[in-house]
Amino acid sequence: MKVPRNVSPAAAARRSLLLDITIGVFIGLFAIILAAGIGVVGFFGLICALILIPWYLIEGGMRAKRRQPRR
Amino acid sequence: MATVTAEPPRPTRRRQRPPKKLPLWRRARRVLTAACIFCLAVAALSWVPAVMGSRNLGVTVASVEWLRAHGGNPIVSEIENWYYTMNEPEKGGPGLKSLPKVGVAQVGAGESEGGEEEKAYAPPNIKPVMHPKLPGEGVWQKAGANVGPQPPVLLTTYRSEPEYPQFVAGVAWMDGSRTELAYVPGTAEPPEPLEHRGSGEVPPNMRKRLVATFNGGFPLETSNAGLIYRGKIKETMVNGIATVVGYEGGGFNIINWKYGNRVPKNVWFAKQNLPLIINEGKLNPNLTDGPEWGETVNNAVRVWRSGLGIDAHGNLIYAAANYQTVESLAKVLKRAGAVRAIELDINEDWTSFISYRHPGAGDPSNLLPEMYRSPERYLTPDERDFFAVYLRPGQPW
Repeated sequence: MKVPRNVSPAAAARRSLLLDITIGVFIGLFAIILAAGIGVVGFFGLICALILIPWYLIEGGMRAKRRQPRR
Repeated sequence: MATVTAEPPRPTRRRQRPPKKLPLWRRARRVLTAACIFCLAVAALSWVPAVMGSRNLGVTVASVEWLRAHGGNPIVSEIENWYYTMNEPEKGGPGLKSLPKVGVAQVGAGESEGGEEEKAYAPPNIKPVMHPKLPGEGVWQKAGANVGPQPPVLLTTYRSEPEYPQFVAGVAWMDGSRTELAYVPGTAEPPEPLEHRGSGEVPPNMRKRLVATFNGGFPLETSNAGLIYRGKIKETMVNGIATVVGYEGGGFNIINWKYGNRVPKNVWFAKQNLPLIINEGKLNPNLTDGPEWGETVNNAVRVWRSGLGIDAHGNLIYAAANYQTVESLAKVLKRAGAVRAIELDINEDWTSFISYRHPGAGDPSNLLPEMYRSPERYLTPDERDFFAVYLRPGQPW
């Protein structure tokens, strides 16, 4: 089965999202295998989450503000 | 002649806009987010049951313990070292006007007037370090009510460091001729597999003889040392490590282990933890230095510490205090008469000495008021292993 080349922008975005998630899961799996224990993975995962969550929130907030019509 | 001009060809399909490409950094962030969610989900599968299963620990302490047990011990130790160094106490300051009250009565008080009973051995009071001494400082008090002329457990407090006039050390003395020592596994420490684990509390049928309980030393994961339980090796025994040994029949000792990975005759339990901090009446010369103190909070960091010693007559001496280094703790034990001593747990979460004022584990009380764990700690299932001190069979309360 061949993957169609010309796809809609939405389908292309979904495809790229799937690829990114797969790469992410593999990186996570690799980290779990390499780490001294699941505690270490959880600890650094938590630190990453503490950085990423505010980042997404701030970015989302700024985008929402930009979308508001100016009076 | 009419000329026919050809119409421009109509587009057969609407031209699609090329998909907007996501910047590379956003895709990298998305990959990182996916990896992070995956790792956290896997970790949560282990963390949630560990925290839910902790009966007498808060979520924070249970999480730290979980992290320690799952490869995160160096991380926890680093953070603890950093935290305690940042919060180091300052020298000096106003002195205390009184000491916390321990025990029920001074040794000798309320005993028979006739002097017919044979005078039992009692340890000499601890010589105060600071002057003028405070009322009751270093004076042994009976831990139990109505215990008669030979109390099995004595308690006292004293200010152990003139440079820090607010620090109070709590010390307990346990009569080796009247008591026996038992090692009780907790619900999670030592880890599985372990035969005859019990329920992680003082067995109900033993409580009528119970006089004291105290914390049992580092978990095996952090001590990198050995354990013998009920005459069988649970964890490889290491030569040159301080060891609390219990013999069949209830006798006990604190020794520098030299028997390799085998069970010597009559040994019922042996719990190891770091090198001896006092040996042959002298402080270990490496107390201020060295990696031998293990992968835990640095030996020079001031934190809650506890230790167990044995005096020249074979009696146990337990000491605990806040803001102690390994060296200052060893000095407390030495001053109380210990000739050999082992460091037990550190941190306020694990340091507990509980005495019982009445038979049947009645009226339990902590050695120091700052010990925040409940005095009922070892009468309910506890995660960590501990020691229980019982009156020998046939000994009157």
